Amino acid sequence: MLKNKYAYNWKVLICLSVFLVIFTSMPSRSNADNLRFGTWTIDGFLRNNTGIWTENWDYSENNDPLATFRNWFRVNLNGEFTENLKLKAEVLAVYESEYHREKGAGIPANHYNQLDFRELRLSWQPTPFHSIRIGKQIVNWGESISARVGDVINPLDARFELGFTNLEDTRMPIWMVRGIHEFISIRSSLDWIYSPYWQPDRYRVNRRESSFGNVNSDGSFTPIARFAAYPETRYESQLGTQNAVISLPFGHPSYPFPDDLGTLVVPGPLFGAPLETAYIGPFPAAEATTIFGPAFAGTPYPDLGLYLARIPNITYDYPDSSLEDARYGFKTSSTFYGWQTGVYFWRANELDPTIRIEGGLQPPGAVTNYVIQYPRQNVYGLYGNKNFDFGVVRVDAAYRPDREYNSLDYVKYPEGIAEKNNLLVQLGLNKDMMIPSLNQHQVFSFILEYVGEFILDSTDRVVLPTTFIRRYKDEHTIFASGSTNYGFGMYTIGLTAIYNFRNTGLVKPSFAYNPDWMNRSWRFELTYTNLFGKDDYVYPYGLFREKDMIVLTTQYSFP
Amino acid sequence: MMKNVMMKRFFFLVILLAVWIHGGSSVICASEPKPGDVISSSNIDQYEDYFPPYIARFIKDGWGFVKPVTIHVGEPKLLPTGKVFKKATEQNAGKVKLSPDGLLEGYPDLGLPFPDPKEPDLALKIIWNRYYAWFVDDWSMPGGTYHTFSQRSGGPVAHAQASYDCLRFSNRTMVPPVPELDNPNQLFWSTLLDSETPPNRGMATLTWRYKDPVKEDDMWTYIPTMRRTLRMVSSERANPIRGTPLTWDDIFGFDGKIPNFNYAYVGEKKTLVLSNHQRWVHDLPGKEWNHPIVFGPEEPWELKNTYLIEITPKDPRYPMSKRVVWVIDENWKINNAAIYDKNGEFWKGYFQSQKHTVVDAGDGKENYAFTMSLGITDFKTQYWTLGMFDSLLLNRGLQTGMFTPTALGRD
Repeated sequence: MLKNKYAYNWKVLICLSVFLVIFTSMPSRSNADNLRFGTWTIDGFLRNNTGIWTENWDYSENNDPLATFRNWFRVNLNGEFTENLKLKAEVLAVYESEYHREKGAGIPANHYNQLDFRELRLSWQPTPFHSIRIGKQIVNWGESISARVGDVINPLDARFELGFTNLEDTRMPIWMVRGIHEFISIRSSLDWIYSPYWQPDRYRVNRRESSFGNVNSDGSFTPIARFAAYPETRYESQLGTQNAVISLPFGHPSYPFPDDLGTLVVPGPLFGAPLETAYIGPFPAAEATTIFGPAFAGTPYPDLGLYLARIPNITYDYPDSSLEDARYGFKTSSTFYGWQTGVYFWRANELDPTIRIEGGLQPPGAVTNYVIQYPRQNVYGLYGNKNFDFGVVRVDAAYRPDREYNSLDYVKYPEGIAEKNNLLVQLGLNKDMMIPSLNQHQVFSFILEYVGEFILDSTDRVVLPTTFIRRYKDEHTIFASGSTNYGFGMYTIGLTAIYNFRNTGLVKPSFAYNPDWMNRSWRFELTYTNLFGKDDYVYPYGLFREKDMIVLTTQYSFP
Repeated sequence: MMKNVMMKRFFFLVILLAVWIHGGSSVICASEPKPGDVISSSNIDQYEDYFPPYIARFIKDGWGFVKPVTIHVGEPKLLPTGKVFKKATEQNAGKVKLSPDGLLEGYPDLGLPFPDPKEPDLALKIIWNRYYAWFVDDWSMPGGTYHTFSQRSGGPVAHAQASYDCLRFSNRTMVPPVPELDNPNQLFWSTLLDSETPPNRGMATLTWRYKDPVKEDDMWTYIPTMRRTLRMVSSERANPIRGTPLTWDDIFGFDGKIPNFNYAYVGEKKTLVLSNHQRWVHDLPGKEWNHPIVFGPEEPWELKNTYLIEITPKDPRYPMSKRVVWVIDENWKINNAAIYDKNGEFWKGYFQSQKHTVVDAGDGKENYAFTMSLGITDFKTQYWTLGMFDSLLLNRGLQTGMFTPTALGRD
């Protein structure tokens, strides 16, 4: 860790030096035509999200309904040094109150607070056809609005989510060099990115809530993080289901496993005390019987029994700052026959981890080492969009050959890692239309998306890396949304629905009010989020199905 | 019998007298406005015929929701036409024809297709002339110098700013290369509208208008809150733009796909228009404006000859029944439009002004009049919005590289 920290610092120094070189190579101030310091603007917003849970999912006997009290202050600075050299700096400050519900969950102080550059970059455009951006940036590729099909570049900050955030709010910036080049004569452009891992640990991979609570020896529960992807029912006496078994607190190394993890052992008829042997994850009941004795033959789920135990040795294999672990890729864009279309390639470490059981499960008495790793992955994608009379069609596909999954088939995959070809596709339709009987003056905007995810090989009992939810050969999800406004933007109503064909999804109606005060700079939005799923173990919303909430978002935009 | 004949003659004379009195009084009341005249609510009745009816009512009582307008009549100043464009127009005389479906045949992508439009199909020919009217080769309102003012019924005036750029790919007459740029996408022109006011700051919309007048536009919008460039629905041109009453077809008075409408010639009329707009936004007190049309002692409205064209949609689903436009015969721009709803009731009024300037034109300078303000009022909801400029750079040689989907959100 220490080494990494210093590595990060001196690389930031290099980065700043590059900026300095660019600055010093700029035209002199006496050349007023070039160095004009012409347009500098500052804008931003103040925002508050206040939300309450409408369902009681509490296992800590703490009924505080406060779901969120998140306060944002974002300032954007945009300026020009010359006509060709521009600066963008965006600072984000976030403050959240302490949550009574999370007291005792082991969440560090100031865990949700933030003061950081969300973007900091220089754009150099030597000609109208070529531009280079250097700095901390966010880039979104692909066509899908509801899913991350081509949106493969920036990690997500998933410590807060669901009822009040859009995807953009959760993207974390990364340092990169990005070039965009237009080739007008062939109706095409090229967008390339090179990103060394010159960023703090917390920005290297998806950031998730790490506190998942404890089950005490008396059977009571300590709280979990509010948006942790761990259903509380897993800590009930039931030891697992056919689909999901355990989650680990994957965060970054600042939040290692607590020493007393052994208390996590699920109480119940099978376990009266923490296990001595280091096993994690499900394994066939026959193995359990062999290892733990005949008492374990009678698990409720003999095929996929779950046994939680002390985890004595976990190491994190994070991407490091070496060139070897750099992320890079490109995207093309061309316009032909009304289509805007292109391909992209991205090579990087996965943003969500897999868990590798180093050397396989060890026999009783030996130490099993679990490695949380972020494997290298190539993504090959294509996308396109076209306007038709019936609306805009958007298509998107991303192919990941040999994508790593965790597998529960420890016989075939002793280290619990299986490589499967993965395909993610999206087909979307946007339609704006007048419906005079409902709104004579403003348009209705509709979005319909289908997202399909396919494992192109035998599944071999693969599960989601972080939540161990079972993955099937194919998953199908429909996203639909509609919105319109009345009073020329004063009142906006919207409805979003997502349905996964394994009977889980969400429904989210919203109402926004944009009054005339202060140049229409205030906006109030009330959103209700209803999540449903047949149980805690269906992807992707089953985990959250007891976390329905109402959130009021108040935003003041300035100047 | 004789008595009946006398009675008929008597009634005939009475009717004749009534017609004479009525006609005579009209001549007396509808005096032609002269430079220096001031037209306000007190004397609008005399000049009503020289305004589109909805403008006249703005003068009469402000429609009951804005301040009544006072118009100052100025000396007419000829709206110019560029030399190259004029020559190309002359060369088109008699060469361009209308196809049976109303499209142009033999148009060389330069100049007016119909230098001296006449029946048959006069209205359609005027509309084609408007479509291919003389424009600069590029214009630019950088740094948020395109200002919009808008007001919901009874509310305060809201103010927003944007940057606005346009590049002509074909029909160019001044900035080399002329008449066409390297144009693999076969564009007529492209615009880039970039919002500078929160919360939509950075939202930029790119429009591609193709040389083929039948082909639908293509549009993309970069949405900062998504970090994404989204393809826009560009085929529904009657949809309002960003929550205003203005639709894509309303821009510049009428910007619909020409084959999608029928056109009728209503007549020729002298109309007072603001075609010599004087003030930039920074000249306005507090850089604010609070009215859907532009007026004031500094703003000379001029008497211009206009053609009135009635435009009706062919598509029965189209949300308006008709649009009447006033086309100035000097440079074929629309200064006013009246839009009627599906029931035939007056719904929206469009206003546009022009400003004189001088532009670089390759081998010299040209006088040019550009659209200086444009706005629309929804009289049913009493919502209005008006766009006005604070600066304008013309023929600066904008490059094609900034008018691509990839370029959106680049800065």
